[in-house]
Amino acid sequence: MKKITVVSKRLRIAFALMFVAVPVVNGLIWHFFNKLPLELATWKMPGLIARRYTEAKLANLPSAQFSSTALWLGFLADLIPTIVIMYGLYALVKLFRNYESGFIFSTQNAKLYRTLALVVFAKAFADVLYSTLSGLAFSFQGPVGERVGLIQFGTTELALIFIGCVVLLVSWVMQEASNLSDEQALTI
Amino acid sequence: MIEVNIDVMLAKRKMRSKELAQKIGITEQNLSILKTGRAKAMRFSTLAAICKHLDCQPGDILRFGGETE
Repeated sequence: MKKITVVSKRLRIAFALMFVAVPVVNGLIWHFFNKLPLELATWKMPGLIARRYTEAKLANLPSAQFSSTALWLGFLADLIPTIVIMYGLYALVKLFRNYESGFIFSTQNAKLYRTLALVVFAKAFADVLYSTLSGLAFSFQGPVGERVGLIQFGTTELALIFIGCVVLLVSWVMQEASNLSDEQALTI
Repeated sequence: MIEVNIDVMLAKRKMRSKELAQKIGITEQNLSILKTGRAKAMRFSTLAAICKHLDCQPGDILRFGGETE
């Protein structure tokens, strides 16, 4: 039990720090986007946009610099998956706080696992939405014929859906465990 | 459901709940859970200890009746 308490405390602190760091780092990335190294900048772009940006950047073309309007739109689009991630981190902080306090098999923890499953599903959907909106944001100021509207659904999103299913199943198992724990507590 | 009626035997043996709880090795709170019908299950070892210290049979303190769950 002590092992659970100690590790849970460390994880709770780590997730709490990430909860603060994620929006701050995201904000900084978008603020300094035009000065970012190529690898970091393309990380925020859907595949097609990233390829065009890489070519423009290597050739030192003006299209490798984005206007503040484009960056603001990209930042707003990025808020969608960011908020989902932050909500997931918040749920993790609550979960590990319960573990730290010794509440292992409880209905609240089962509900938190269900929340995490929904967060994972939401992240997959948010990423698809982000790819569409960021594609528009990065290309809308380009010349006619160079503007891009896309929907990106790949192995990452598929993996998130599978992981979400697994976490959902875990939440059902934890609910059963909570029922057994309650019955055990009321067995004299 | 099964009703656990320890109070009558406690009165007959002139014993308090706290004393019985200490003798059978459970907390007073758990004994209260038994007496108030909130227990989901009882171990045979607990039933045997109660019967031993109250000098009674299981039928003296257990009764089938009331609303089913």
